[in-house]
Order: sequence, then C-alpha cells, then structure tokens
Amino acid sequence: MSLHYRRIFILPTRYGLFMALVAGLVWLGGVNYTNNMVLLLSFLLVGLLVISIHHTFNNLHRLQVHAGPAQPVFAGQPLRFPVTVHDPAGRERPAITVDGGEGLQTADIPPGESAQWWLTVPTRERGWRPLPRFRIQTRFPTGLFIAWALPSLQQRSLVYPAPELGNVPPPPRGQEGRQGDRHGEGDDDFHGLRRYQVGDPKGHIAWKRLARGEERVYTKQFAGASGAPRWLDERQLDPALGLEERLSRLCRWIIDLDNGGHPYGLRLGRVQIAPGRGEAHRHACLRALALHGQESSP
Amino acid sequence: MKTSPRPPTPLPRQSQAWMLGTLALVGAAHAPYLPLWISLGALACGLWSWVNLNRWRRLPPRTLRFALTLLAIGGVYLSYGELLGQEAGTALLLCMSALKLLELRSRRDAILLIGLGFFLVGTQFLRSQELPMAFYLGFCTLGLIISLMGTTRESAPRHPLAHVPQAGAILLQALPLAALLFFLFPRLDGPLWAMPEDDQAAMTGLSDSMEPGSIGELAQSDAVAFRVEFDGDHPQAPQRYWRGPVFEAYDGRRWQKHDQLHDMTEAATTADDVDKWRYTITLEPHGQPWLFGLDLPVDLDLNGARTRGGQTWERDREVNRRIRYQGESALDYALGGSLDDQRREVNQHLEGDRHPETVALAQGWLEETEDPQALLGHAISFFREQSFGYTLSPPLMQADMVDEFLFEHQQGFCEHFAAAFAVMMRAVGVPTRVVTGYLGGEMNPAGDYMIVRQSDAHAWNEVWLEGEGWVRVDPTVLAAPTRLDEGLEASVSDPDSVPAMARFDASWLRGLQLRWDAVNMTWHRWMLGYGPEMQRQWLERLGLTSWQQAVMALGGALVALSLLLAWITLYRGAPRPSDPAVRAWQKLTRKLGRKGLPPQPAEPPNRYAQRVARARPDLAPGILQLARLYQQYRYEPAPREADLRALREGVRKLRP
Repeated sequence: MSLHYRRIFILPTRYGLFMALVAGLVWLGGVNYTNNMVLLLSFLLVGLLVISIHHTFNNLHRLQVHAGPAQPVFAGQPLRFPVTVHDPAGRERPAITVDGGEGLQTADIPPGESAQWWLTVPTRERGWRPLPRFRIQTRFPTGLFIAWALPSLQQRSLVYPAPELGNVPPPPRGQEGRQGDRHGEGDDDFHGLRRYQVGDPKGHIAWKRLARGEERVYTKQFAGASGAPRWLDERQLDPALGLEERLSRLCRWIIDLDNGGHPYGLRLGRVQIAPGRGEAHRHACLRALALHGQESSP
Repeated sequence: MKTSPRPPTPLPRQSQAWMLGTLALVGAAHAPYLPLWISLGALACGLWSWVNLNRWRRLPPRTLRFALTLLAIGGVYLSYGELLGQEAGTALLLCMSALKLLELRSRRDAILLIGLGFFLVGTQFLRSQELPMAFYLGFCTLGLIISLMGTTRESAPRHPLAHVPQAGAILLQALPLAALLFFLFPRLDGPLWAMPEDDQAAMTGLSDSMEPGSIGELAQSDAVAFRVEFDGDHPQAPQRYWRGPVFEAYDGRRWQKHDQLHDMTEAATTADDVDKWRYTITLEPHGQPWLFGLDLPVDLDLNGARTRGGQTWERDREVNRRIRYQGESALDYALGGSLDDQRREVNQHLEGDRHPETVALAQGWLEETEDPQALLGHAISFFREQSFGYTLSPPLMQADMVDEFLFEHQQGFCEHFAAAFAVMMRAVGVPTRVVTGYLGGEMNPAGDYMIVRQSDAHAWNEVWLEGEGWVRVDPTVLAAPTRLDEGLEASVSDPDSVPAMARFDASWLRGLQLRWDAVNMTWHRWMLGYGPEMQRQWLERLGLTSWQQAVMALGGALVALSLLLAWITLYRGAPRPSDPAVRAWQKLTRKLGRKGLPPQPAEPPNRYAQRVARARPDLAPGILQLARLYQQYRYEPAPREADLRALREGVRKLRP
C-alpha cells in the first residue's frame, strides 16, 4: 500500500511549538528595537516551520508499505508480522519509525530500497488474527513536526489453540487401544531419551538423570504401539470438557505425537485428516483446530 | 500523539559535535562585546562539553552546575549593574547557553540549545546589521538547521555534512516566505516597552563644541558620516558645504552653542525663483541630535526634525541608529535679516584678557575704517597674504591658541582658522560665529550617490553684515584655496596623516571600496531602511491603501505560496517513468480512471484492456489495439518506433 497524501497526518511536535515561541519572542525583539534583521530572522523561523511541514510530510509521502504473513503461533504467544517499507521515489527516507508493539523502532530507508520491521501482535484466541492498524511516523528533517500514517494492510495470520498444559491424559492408542480405557503408555516400551520440550508431561521427565547432576532436562520417550497411527477424535473426549478445552487437549496431543514421531490422524466435526507425520501434516491438523467452528477460507 | 515512555533520546555524537561548533561560531560573534570572563567561561564550557562527548561521558554534579549558574548571574550583575538591559540580557543569555552545555544529555537539551542559538543570532543583529555580519549569521543559521537535522536523525547518525543539501534547500525555501512576511507583515512602530537608549561609545561625529584639535582628530577618520542621493544633478565641489551645528558662545577657548539663542529660530529667506536642491541623506549614527543638509537647508523631512538657532537642524533625540531623510536646500539665501541685541552681544563677545596680540592687530584696522565690509576685507587679506600651513597635526598650542597660531606657528587645521578669524572680527565689533559641518563629498560612480566622510569635517564662519544678514566666510579656504576644490589630501602639507579614503588615488583598491560601499548603500536602503513608512509607500504603490487590504494580500500570498509548495511536494515524489510507452499507457489509464475505470493494482495491460472492453463495448476495438501496441513495443526484442507512434496517437485520440 502506498502512503498517499490523504493518509498522512501531520502536527507540530513540542519542539515545533517551542520554535514557534522562539520565533514570536524574536519578532517582539525585532519590533521593540526596530531592527530589520531581527524581524527577518523571526520570519525566517516561521518560514522554517512552514517548510518543515512539507519536508516532514514528504519523508513519508509515497512510501510503499507491505506486510507479510506471520508464522502461526499458539494462542497467547505474540504474532510477528514482517512489514516492509519501500521507497519508490529514489529518495533517501531517513529516520522512519514504526510503532511495532514493542516500542518504537527507527530505521533509514536508502533511495529506492526497503527496510523491514517486525510488528508484534499479542494473541489470546485461536483463529485468524488480522494485522491491526499500526503507526508509521517520522520527524525528519527538523523534528519540529511529526507526520504519521496508520496503514491498514490486508494481512492476517493463523493462531492455533493454546496446548493444554500440565498432566494430560495420553493420546489414545492406535488400533489396539481403541477401547478408550486409560492405559499407561507402557513403561516397558521405553524407547529412549530426548531433550525436554514445553508440554512434555512431568511424569515422563527423567528425574534420575536430573538428580545425577545432568545440566539438561530429558524426557523419557515411549514407543507405545510401534508406529500404528492413532486417531485423535474430538467426539471421544470427555463430554464434560468445553469445546475450547477439547481443542486445547487435541492440540497438546498433536504436539506430543509429533514430537514422538508417531503417525496420527484427526477427526474434528466434519473434518477428517488422514493419519500422517511431519511438519505439513502437523500444520494441517493445527489449522483445522484453529479454524474449527469458524469461517474457513484460504 | 502516542509516545511510549522511554528514557531521553541520547544524542548522536557527530551531530552533537556539529552543534557545539555552530554554537561556538555564534558565540565568537559575541565575544568582542563581552567581558573577558564570559568569553573564557563559555569557551571552557564548550571545551568541557567537547571532551565530555569524546571521553568522559559524565555530567558535572547538579550542585556544581547550580553554583556556576548563581555565579554567572552574579557576575553579569557586577559587570553591567543590571540583568535585563540589552547588553546585560545578551550576556546572561550567553552564560545560560554555555552552562546548558554542561547538562547536554538528551535531544530535548539539544533543541533547547538550538533555540537559544537562534536567540543569540538575533541579539547579535542588535549590535550590527551590516552585510558581512548578515552573511556570517546566515551561515550560523544554516549550521543550526543542520544541527536540528542531526538531532532528529536518531536512527543512523550520518556525518552532518551529508545534511547540507537538504538544510540548504530548507533555508532557500524558507527565504521567500520570510521575504514575503518581511515586506507584507504589518509593521509596528517600536518600541513596545521602555528601552534604555544604549549609548554607543564607538560612534564618531562632530561634537557639540569646538576647541583646538577636535575637528582635526575627527578628520583622521575614514568613517562615513552620511551618504546623499540627489534628485538629478549633484552640486559642484565648491558648493558642497554641509551645515551642522552653529556655535555662537565663546569662552576664550571653547566654542559652543548658546543655550538661549539656540532656542530662538532665525529667519531664512530665499527668493521664489531660486533653484532648490533635493536629496535624500542616509545619516550614520553619531550620538548627537543634529542633522546635516546642504548649506542652506530650508526643509528636512523627518519626524521630529526642526530648525534651531543658527539654522541648525535637530531631531528630538540623538541619532543612535542609521536614519534616512529628505532635504531641500537653496544655495542662494538670506539669513538673519535683523539681529536682536542679545544675539549681537553674544556674537561680539570676547573674554577681556584673551588673545591680546590678535585683538591688537584687528583693532589697528579700526584707525583706518569702521565699515564692517572694509574690516572684513582686511581680515580676508590677512589670511590670503600670510603663508599659513594647513595641517592635520598642528604644533601644540597651549597658552593662547589664537595668538600662537596666527603669529608663531601659522600651522593649523580648519578649527584654528575659523576660531582665529572669529576672534579677529569680534575684536572689531563685527558679529561673527562658527559653523561646523562638512566640506566636500565624493560621488560614488558605482552607485550614483555622494559619500561624505568624517575626514571631510570642516569649520567655517559667518559674519553678520547690515542688509545682507549672515554671510559665509571660510578662512581655511582663503589660506589654502585647494581645500575647496581638491579636498583635504591636496591641501594639507603632510599628506601621510590623511586617512586613506580621503586621498585621491585611483587605485583598484579604492574602486573596490567604492563598489563595496555601493553594495552596502543598497543594503542599507532596501533592507535596513525598510520600515512602517516605506511599507506604506510600497503597499500604496501596489494599490493597497488600508491595512485590511494589506492583511488580505499577505494572507492570499501565503496561501498561494503554500499551495505551490504543497503541489511541488505532492508531485515531486512521483517518479516519471523513463519509457515513453509507459508514459503513454499511464496517460490512457488516467483518462479511463476519470471515467470510473481505473486499473486494479497488479493488473496486466491486456487483462485491464479486456475488462475495459467488457465495461465499455464502444471502446473495445481501440483499447484492445492499444494494449497490443503497448505490449509489442515494450516486449518485442526489437521495438518498432511505428508502434510507439501509433500508441501515442491512439491514446491522444481516445475519448472515453
């Protein structure tokens, strides 16, 4: 999107007001001492203020602003949208500031080139999160005026449900364990150790290793039912749980299974995703969770 | 305005250094007028700030800064006896700016200092508005703008010189606005508040009395006394007598005005058919109330100017800044048709026991004649026949200045001649007085005006003759006739003591100086002389007779200028495509856009053309053809000029 002149606002800064005050006082002095050069100086300061409007405005004018999609995150984590600001006019655009959610970030844009900012947007709920209006501003060259625009870009990103934390019932077994009865993951099927990740159940932490003085925390891996795909079915969850809680649990299971390298499939309402593994599969499942019950588009 | 709380923005190092340098330049202009301790103190603060910037990065403790501030205020009070006068106020402002350097930390401090810098530029203009100073301070202003840019560019500080082009552009664009305001913004007559009339020690000019040496000293100065522009012709050298104060009271050593007589005006009459000279004088400040005019000025057009005794023209207050006025003079006049007893007595008065030899000589003539005309003839012959020397450095005459001059040394300057002549005439009872002013003036070929310098200062006499009134007699010219025609340098016996500008040599340096003087004259006339009066004349010339109209004109001009600037701003940013086909195609899209068919972003030409063709079947064949031509011209390996011509022609003819 191009920063067209109708999208740009401009107002004096407090330094601009201060300079206006200086101009007024110099003018009074010029009148009092009937001194033409002092009068001219005061008018020059007025001219400086007026010209500053144009230069400050021009520093933003016609900048092209684009935003890319953010990497999907789990609800509660911040989305980070990449915003690119490009100068099409072949002029240098110094001291362009973007209010990126984590304070102001300022950069210079070389003539005909671009600069990139990260816009951090907090999330609470799953689903599509649009890039909100944000503020791009500049005070260059004189600092006496501040010009800003609030571009609203058609960009959004997906927020997955927050995975359920703490001790959660393990995901249902594959074909053998389809009774739904709560089965341990089979301590006998100990598979190996891997680095602890957020979401790993406490009971699986290798406490003994930790007690031996290992710096790192490891989680015990259990092979379970060797490679048989597991179906994660929303309808088989405890009906006492609310919808969001169920989605949270499914999310957690997807993470756990993905970490363990197990194949899994998802049944959620009318959506059915055939069992699979890997990054793309995980995203497809999490996306289904995120959009469950919401409009589903691109 | 939304600003998240954050610590004060630190200053980019280079822009801080640049600002220090600029402030040093501004301060340097003030230094010659300030007590030494302020200059040194400010220099110390600047150096401290510089070192701090490069090395220490720590500010002095608050208590120390506070103590220094109190010290500075006390010091200014001790030096000036006040805190708020023009000089004291400037000194205080400079001290505070210097001390602010000791707590320079954030952008806020820097902007405050830059604002103070603009103030200091203004106060310097109160001291001098001359052209070189204006250039110097204009340069400082540019430096301040660059400092402003440096402090604003917090992201990636550049070398401040990188900001020069844009700062120069800002200054050049602000100037027309400033000029517009300067000429059109309503002028108020100052002062707005009581202003102590600052006595300026450096002013030179004729003093309010004449004693031996006073004019000779003045004549050694190159300084310009005033400049004259004549309406039409200018007077010849022997006619260039410029009348100043007239002295009638004499105490045996010093000639000065007589307080009572001074308040009694004297009638001056001129015949109706006499040609009058009209001219405009730009008078340099000289610290005295009187004005000068070509002898005899019959009218000087200046607020508060009037004639006093002896046809001296005076203003109601001292001339402490350059003023301009118009004058009218008649070279053929009668002055003082009748002489009242008091005036006669004063103009015949001599201290009883002074100048015995001179008095004896003059009274000797009385045995021959008592006719004033004949007595005057005796005195004139005396000055003609004796071999007097005209010199700027006469020998010391202490006991009796007139006797020693006439009979011992015979070396003197105009005040010696005038005083001796007056004593001589008074000794035989002829009323005689001393007139001071200037004799001479030089046309500046570069500007067609006359420069009268302090070195042209002169004194002559007037004697009162029954039936004729006051008649001018110039004993200096009687003794040294060349003084009249060829000026000072040709007349004095020791030319080395004559100031350079009074010498007649046609060196290139002199030509250069005259040219520079002409530039200055223009500057004074148009820039510094522009005031409420001139503004009214200008506005009337533009047909604006009331101030309401003037304000409307100003407003209109400002709006027009702003719109022009806005237009430049909005259209300058749009890059003009270099490809002629692209330009032609954009012309087409603009035409269609006005009819509600703008191209969508990222819509290729052929798809756009198809969309237009669907929406406006009447345009379909033309637009599809144009899109094809456009693509052919742009993307064929060997574009054909014929395609481009056809495209341009088609776009021109398209009537959506």
